[in-house]
Amino acid sequence: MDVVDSLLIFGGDAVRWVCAALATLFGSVWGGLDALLNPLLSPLLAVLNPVCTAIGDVTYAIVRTLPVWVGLTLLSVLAGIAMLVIFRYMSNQTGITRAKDQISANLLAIKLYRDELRVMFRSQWGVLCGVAKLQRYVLTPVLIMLLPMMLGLAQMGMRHQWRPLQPGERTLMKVRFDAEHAVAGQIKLEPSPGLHVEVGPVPGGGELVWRIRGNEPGRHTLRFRVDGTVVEKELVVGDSFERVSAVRPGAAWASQLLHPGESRLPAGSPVASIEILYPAVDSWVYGADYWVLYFFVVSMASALLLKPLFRVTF
Amino acid sequence: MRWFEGPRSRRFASRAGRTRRRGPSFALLTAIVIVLGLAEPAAAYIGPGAGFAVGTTLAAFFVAVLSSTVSLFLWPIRWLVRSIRGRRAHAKARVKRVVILGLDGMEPTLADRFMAEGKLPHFSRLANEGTYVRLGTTAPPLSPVAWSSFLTGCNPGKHRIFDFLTCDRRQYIPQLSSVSIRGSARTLKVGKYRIPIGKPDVRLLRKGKPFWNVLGEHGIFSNIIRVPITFPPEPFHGVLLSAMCVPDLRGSQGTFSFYTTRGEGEAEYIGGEQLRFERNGKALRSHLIGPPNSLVQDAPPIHCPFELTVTGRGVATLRVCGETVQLEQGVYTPWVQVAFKAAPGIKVKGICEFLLLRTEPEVELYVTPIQIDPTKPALPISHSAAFSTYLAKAHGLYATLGLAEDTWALNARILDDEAFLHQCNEADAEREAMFFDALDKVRRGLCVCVFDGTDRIQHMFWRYIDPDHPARDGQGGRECRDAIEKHYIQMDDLVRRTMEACDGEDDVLMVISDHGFCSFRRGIDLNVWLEQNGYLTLKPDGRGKKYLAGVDWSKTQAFALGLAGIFLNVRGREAEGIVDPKDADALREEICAKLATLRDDESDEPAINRAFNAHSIYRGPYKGDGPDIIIGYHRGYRVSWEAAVGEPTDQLFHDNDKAWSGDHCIDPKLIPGVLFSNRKIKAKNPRLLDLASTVLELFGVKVPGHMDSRPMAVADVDGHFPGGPESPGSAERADDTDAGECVAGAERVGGGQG
Repeated sequence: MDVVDSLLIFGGDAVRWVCAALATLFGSVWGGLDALLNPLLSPLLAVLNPVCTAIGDVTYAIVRTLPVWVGLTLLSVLAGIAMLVIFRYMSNQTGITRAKDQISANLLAIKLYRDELRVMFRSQWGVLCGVAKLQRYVLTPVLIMLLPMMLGLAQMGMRHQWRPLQPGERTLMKVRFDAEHAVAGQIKLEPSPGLHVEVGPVPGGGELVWRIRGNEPGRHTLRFRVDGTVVEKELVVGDSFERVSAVRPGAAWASQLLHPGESRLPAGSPVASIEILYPAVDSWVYGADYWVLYFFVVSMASALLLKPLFRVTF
Repeated sequence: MRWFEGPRSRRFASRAGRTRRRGPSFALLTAIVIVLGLAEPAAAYIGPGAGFAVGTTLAAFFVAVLSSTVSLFLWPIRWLVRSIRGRRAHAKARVKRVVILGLDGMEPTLADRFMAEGKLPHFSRLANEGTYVRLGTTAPPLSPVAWSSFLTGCNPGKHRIFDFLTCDRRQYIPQLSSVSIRGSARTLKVGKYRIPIGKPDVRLLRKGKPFWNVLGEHGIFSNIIRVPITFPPEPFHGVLLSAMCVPDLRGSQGTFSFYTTRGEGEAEYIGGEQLRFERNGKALRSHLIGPPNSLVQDAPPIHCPFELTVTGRGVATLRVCGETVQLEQGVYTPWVQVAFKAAPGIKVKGICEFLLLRTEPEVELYVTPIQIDPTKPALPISHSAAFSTYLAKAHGLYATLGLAEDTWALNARILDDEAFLHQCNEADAEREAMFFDALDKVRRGLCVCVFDGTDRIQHMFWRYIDPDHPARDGQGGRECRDAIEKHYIQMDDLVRRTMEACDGEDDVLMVISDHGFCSFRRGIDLNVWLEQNGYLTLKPDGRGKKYLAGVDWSKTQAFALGLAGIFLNVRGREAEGIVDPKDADALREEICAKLATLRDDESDEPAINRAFNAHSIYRGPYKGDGPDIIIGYHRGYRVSWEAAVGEPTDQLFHDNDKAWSGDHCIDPKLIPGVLFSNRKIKAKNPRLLDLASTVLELFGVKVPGHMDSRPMAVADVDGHFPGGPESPGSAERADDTDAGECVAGAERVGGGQG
């Protein structure tokens, strides 16, 4: 038993070590790439996000007339169709068909010549090569879809991931500071009709935290005075289905991509980001996190169903 | 000419170009994907795009990994089972693999000539290092009969195939001899629809068991490609793709369509039809004619509309089934998949090729017979059912029709020689891909593949090598005049590649043909001869009517139908029979004797060499199911086109001025096939039907007693014959052979083990 325990412990440690090593490796790679890409992508997103948000507002002005799940379904189906059209014209349909044929032929060869081990193993290799080819042909349209789809999903996330704070409902608000700035003692939150500060600011871990309570319904602007500069954050209070921006990001492209509702904080600001922990939308269909799954299922299902109509192979 | 460029090769070229161009961008895009993919977990899912990427490949990847894993785990068990089975199956085998390459209709005299001229070096090599002999064929020497004897090892009296067509004796109409296709017997009526209960009844009428079924019973695997009279396919241990008698989607043996803007409207040809385009602005509209819709009352044919727009001189755009196909005058399209809607949600799928014949002064379009789509076959065309799909996925779409090369369209002058030649070459190219794939996959067992190009090209181009042929003023260029010779040279190259693929010591290669070939200059209207000799009487207005509709049965003792021979109108057997069964044999002998004296006054030559009493030359339970008299025509003669379809004319001899200028339906003794092998083979007067037992014996499998086939002695790779210089079979046969160089099937089958 001791040997088994030792082996299990050793095994567990080994797995942890490998995971940690991989995380470090990916972290390093990611850090390097992030530094490389940020000067390019951050300004680009600063331009794209307001446009996308305006389009999102117009779209949801129409969709919000429907029940939320119907609206999400409609958007998912439309996304599926849009992706089909992109796939139709941006992919190498002949190549995809050939790769799929190669996979099918090799799978059938395994079935038909199962007594010939040589054929069986060679066919399995053929299947794997076919899969690799297919991935290659699928790559181009996926890359073309990547940016618009991520921008669109970020817009949908602002509606389906979080909901506005209800009047009287409590939550936390966090202001994170740039690493070069100490937690500023002289920060001041100007009073707003939208909220009532219950506790705070409480410093800790490079950020200040407030416990706030929703007050008057509406879309309010919070103003923070920090080292003589004014930094703003939007707060939404109310019962209705509204777009909410949980985070006002700094000049970090990944954060900008995920939180497109507000412009990035100005360069040189001591504040790195401001976050309001809005309550998650509670629904098994269109609520927090589930909406992505629902979107995936419905968009894929509609794409599969409409595939023959659009004569798309994938 | 552009026929030989082949759309496929150009397609591959363009694909290759595209792949090269994508190289650098591929690396860049991959880098971007890695960057974005690593962004954050929340961004990992990017919507349906990623779904497509994952969905399309994950399933295949999963199946591949799963099957690999299962295979690896099962490998020891499989190895054990396979070893035990294999050892038992091949325990007595003298060889690992037998490869039979069938070249339908290869003529020995032409082979001799081309070998002597040094044009067939690989055939010569086989002849010098192995075997080259004449191979006795069957009576009649027709492909369905000969190949049926080859695969069953039996005479026609046992496999029941005597001709392409046989006679429905209740109605005196021709019907296909090898297969019967009927819709489901029971249907459920729902509104205008008739929903069939059960599958259509597709029945193979050929009797007897193919020798690969016998091999399969002993655990030996076979890969059989396009051997005639294998439709519908029978289950056995191996894979098989059916050939001759596989119908097109309409159920016929091949009906082409010819579309034109010419004024004369619709017309009918033998094996095809002419349809008119309807003008709609710049576009020309018409429809493909599909299968009868058995889901509705009266089963009208299903149509598939298409639109043709002439976009310039010699170019046009075709829109069919949502696809757009660019047409260029004189260039075949690749196979196009078309669908015929039988009912909501129910489609019958087919494939066809389009050929824009001209755009000026009139627009003319040729469409091949619409064939069964091998990826979704409307009727079973292979065993396993997945085999036809496998071949299509592995090598692309291919012709599935039994007689894939459209001889009727060339006869009707819809196609010219070059266009027809393209079809032959394309069909052979498709088959080559399948054949070499089989050689690659099957290292132990039997591989058989039959190529039809030799037969079709000789049928249609013999007029170029026969200076006395009535149709000798052909239209083709040099390419067509040398088509037969060139095709033999192509087959020589095929033999070279086959020899390279069969270089193992335990591989036996046999190259065979089912019969030879000769000129078909004059046709004999047998019904006229019967009428002149008082055996057949026509109704007052009966002359010129097809399918024996003009025959007065109350005064007719015998009639001709099909290519092989003459039927007696026997009381109790035929619906309106008048010949007493007791007198039938005497009548058969009487007609045979008279026919043997028939001469062609114009050429002052005998027209018929011999006529055989079928009841004397066949043995077996079905000997009475075929014609009563089999005609052994002299060289240059055959049954006339009109007599073949039971249409009595007013003259006995007809010049054959059709492109179909070569034939083989003559006295079998005059038209043997060939047998080449990479092994020494000793047999006196070998016959096509002896191949079955020879192969069985090579694999150490006992030859079933019902077979008429007797094994030939095949030497080991070192040239020694096991058990002595002559096999027992050939010794036994020594007393019943003819003195001639080859033994025609007629006598031999007569000597079969009844």
